[in-house]
Amino acid sequence: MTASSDEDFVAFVRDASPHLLRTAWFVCGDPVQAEELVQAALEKVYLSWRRIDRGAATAYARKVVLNHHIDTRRRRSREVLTDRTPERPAAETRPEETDALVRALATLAPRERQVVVLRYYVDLSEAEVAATLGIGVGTVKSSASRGLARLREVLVPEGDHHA
Amino acid sequence: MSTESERAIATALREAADGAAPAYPALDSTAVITAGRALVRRRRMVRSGAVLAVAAVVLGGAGIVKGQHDRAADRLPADRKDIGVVSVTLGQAQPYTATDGTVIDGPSRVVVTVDTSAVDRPNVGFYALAGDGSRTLMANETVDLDRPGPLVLTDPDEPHLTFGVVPSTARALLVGGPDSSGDVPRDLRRIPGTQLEAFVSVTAIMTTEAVVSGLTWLDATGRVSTMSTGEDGVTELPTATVDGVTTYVDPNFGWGAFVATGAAVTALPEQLTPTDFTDPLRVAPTAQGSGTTWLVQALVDPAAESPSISFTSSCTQVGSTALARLSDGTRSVLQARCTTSQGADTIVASLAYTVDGTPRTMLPVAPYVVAVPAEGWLTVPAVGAEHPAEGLSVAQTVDPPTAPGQWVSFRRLLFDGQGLDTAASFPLAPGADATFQLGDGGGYDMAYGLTRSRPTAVTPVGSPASRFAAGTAWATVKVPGTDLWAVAISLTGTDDHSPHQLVSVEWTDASGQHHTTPAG
Repeated sequence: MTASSDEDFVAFVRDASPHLLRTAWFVCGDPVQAEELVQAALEKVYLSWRRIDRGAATAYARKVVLNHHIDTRRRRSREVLTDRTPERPAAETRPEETDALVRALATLAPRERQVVVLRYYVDLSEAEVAATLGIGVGTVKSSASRGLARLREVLVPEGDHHA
Repeated sequence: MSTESERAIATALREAADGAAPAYPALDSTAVITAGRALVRRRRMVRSGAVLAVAAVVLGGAGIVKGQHDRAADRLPADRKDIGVVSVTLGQAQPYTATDGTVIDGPSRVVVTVDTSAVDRPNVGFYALAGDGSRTLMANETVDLDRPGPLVLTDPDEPHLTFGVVPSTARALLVGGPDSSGDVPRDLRRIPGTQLEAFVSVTAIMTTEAVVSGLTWLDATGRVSTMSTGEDGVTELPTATVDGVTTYVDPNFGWGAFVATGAAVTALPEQLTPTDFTDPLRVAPTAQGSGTTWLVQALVDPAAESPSISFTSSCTQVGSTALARLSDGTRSVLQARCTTSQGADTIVASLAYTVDGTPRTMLPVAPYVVAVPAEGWLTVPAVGAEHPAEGLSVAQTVDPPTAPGQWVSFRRLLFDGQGLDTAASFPLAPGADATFQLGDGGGYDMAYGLTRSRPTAVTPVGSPASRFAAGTAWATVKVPGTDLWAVAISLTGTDDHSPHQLVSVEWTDASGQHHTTPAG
């Protein structure tokens, strides 16, 4: 890896990591695990940096993050939920609505959660979500629909559902 | 993205992300680079070629290497005496054609070396073996020989190849990925003097580390283990073994099977397992000779008893119908085989079993086609390339008579032909003349319904009234063994995910009577 290549990578980490961290946080529901996911993903990106299309580097890193999330979930018997004491002081500053949203996301199936985050936070098209996760557009559509319906149930107080 | 609820969720996510900003500065790029450089250094240790030694095995023939490399720095002399090479050449009878059209000729070989000169960091290297005997390093990685864990590697210059190591107890493996297939060429070989087996697998799609989801393998004791790319941990999966077939269920990635034929073990491709599935079924060819032997499997209620499978006249059952409970007790595997002398469109006529004395019948293959005008679909945004120009096949599953009504599950053939996905499942309550519900249609939505009399005209009513203006299409079929008609309606204009899109269905029965059934 040349010095200029390393400089490129440093700039990439600086620019991409905040967004990757937030994506990982929404997907895994835990700020510390999110950092682990992104750290591991960026190490992989670094190894492949010389052959990665710079324009596709963020998408590549995002895909690695999401794969790592599924991997981690497979290794652990169940996911880490957000009702445990935050280990990062800064996390305590999150508004109550934010925690409620992250908890609501945690009630979705992992694939639904990934689809919802990619579709509505990262703002990818259905085709882009399908390509990122290696699933069909139909699955994206149905997962997004189910995920949104579930979020509506969880986030909208009883009695506020409109007919 | 156009509905209020979609905009609300998007806004909430962005506001939450903004609220988390103090907790998430950019990561320390120095730490990332330091870790990355450490990995690079380990790889360069072997590329220098100065310290290679000890055990090696040649993996052959999986039709692996396409084209020649030109990476002189990675080349090793073929006659080095300090590399113990055990040569095994396996042939690939026919060139393999990947899904992108790449033709991978065989046979060819991959050399696997284990370098133990650095005792605390033994290194496994994978080299493409060229026709002139020279070797080109594809990838290498440090392993722990005392506690061998699985390892999966790829090489960007060999994009249709995945390779790595698994514990030496492995008998067969499957490389997992979005398009993982059971019939690609692969090989698995013991590395002498180690507790490792090396594998090489051709993949149907171009691979990267981000695409390969991991490995699943069967060991000599019948256990099935899985690991994910980039992780050291191994998860043991629940299994059931019947008549030489070990079936496993991975709650995240699907279910699959390893089929033993004599000393050989073949991995069948994994099949999607929807979270809301009921009785998923697979029919897979397992042997070719004068005819084809088909393996039929279904995942059924763990309390199932008295299993039976009825085959169509084109397929003759071989052996008996077996039932075995998964090791975690969550489901049972119902299994049988049949043979056909020629091609057959339909293999299974029905499956049956009892649960607590109550009979259940599954009629998995009674497909009909909803002919959807492609012209209508092309006008619908977000449908994209997945318009069902060739129609949609729907099969139904029936569990009669289960209180409080007769349940019917509508199954949709997956676009890649790999199996059936549950699109909707619901009962028709006693006394009701019809019910309709929205369900998954793949790249679009469908409404599914049950009626007690044959419908002759069906019109979905949407909200707003113009929702289905781009057109709809429908079809119906009698559900065998019941007095029900299953109805499938292809819808347009449902790409916005808003709730309550389908208000009701107006339909006419064979006697000319009109009905309006509110959507469920």
